[in-house]
Amino acid sequence: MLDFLIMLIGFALAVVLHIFWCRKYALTQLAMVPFCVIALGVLGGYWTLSWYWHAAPWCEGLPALLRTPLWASSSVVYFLLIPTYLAFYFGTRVESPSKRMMLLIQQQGGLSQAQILSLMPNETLVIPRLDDLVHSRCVVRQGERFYLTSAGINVARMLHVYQVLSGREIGG
Amino acid sequence: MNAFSFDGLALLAGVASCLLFCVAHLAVFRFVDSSGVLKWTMIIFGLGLFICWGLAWSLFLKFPSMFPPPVLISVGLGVSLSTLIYGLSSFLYVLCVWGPYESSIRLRLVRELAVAYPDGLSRDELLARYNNEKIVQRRLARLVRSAEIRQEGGVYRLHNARNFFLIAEWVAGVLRKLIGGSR
Repeated sequence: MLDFLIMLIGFALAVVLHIFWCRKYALTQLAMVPFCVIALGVLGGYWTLSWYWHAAPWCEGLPALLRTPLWASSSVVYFLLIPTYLAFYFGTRVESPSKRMMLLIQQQGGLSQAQILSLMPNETLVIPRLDDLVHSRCVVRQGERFYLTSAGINVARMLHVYQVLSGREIGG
Repeated sequence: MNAFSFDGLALLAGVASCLLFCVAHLAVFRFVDSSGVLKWTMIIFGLGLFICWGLAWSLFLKFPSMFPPPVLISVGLGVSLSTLIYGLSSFLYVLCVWGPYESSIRLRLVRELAVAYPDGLSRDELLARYNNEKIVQRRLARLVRSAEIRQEGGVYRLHNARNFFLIAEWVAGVLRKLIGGSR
């Protein structure tokens, strides 16, 4: 149980360090890789500490429930918390269309589909995401036409495999 | 780590429940249309939660000697740990695998370009196939079906003020205040 509690404290520390990092270096851009590096560093520290206190003589004086080793499940929870935190962090910089719609409906009290469409045109919904794909090199622009790169083709293949597995129609 | 230790059993129950969730999700969603995805995801998650509790309790009661005293509190904590592992891993499957496939605009643009491969598409051709109208219509149908919003005549209104999107926006807002910057 001590393993689990120390893991939670370690994860909270990683989040606090990431917040300080973002305030100093990443006010206007995503800093997901720095969080992964910080989190993995803290995890390494946790593993070292865990090995130490389970080997330490003073640990034997603790109640049995506290000194029960939970190293593996604590580590798994830690690994799962990393992308969970990043999902919320991503939401501080990028807004999903569904969330945008909910917020607009909440702010206006009620909207028709036409009003929602005028507030969410292609220029804000689709074009910036197409530009992101070009920037991340999944898509290349040649003149006025857009083409998939080899990376984009691989992504499309994975999506096709998942479509066959799930039997679902095309998403979006 | 011994597979039949407290640690191993909690992990086994959580991971096994999550695998069952993923298989059930793939099987059931062959028959669910895009407007019912939110509702059915919550149903399958809830069923998976009961399976996780049942699996955790039955595993722990089969190996009672693995649990330090007081046993009931140990078992309760073990079940909670399994539930946490199941909850987080299922949430991440929905967020990182199924969610992007079902609703990512970028991935849909990649699929449209893949269909046109190797000819490519102009911006107008792409928008003719996939545009804000299709994006908004899909999401409105989904949100109405999951009772997050309601339709009164031609107007859409909030039905459930405590829904996942607004709660997530509240968390993101708190985090944004801490880290600074903006969207």
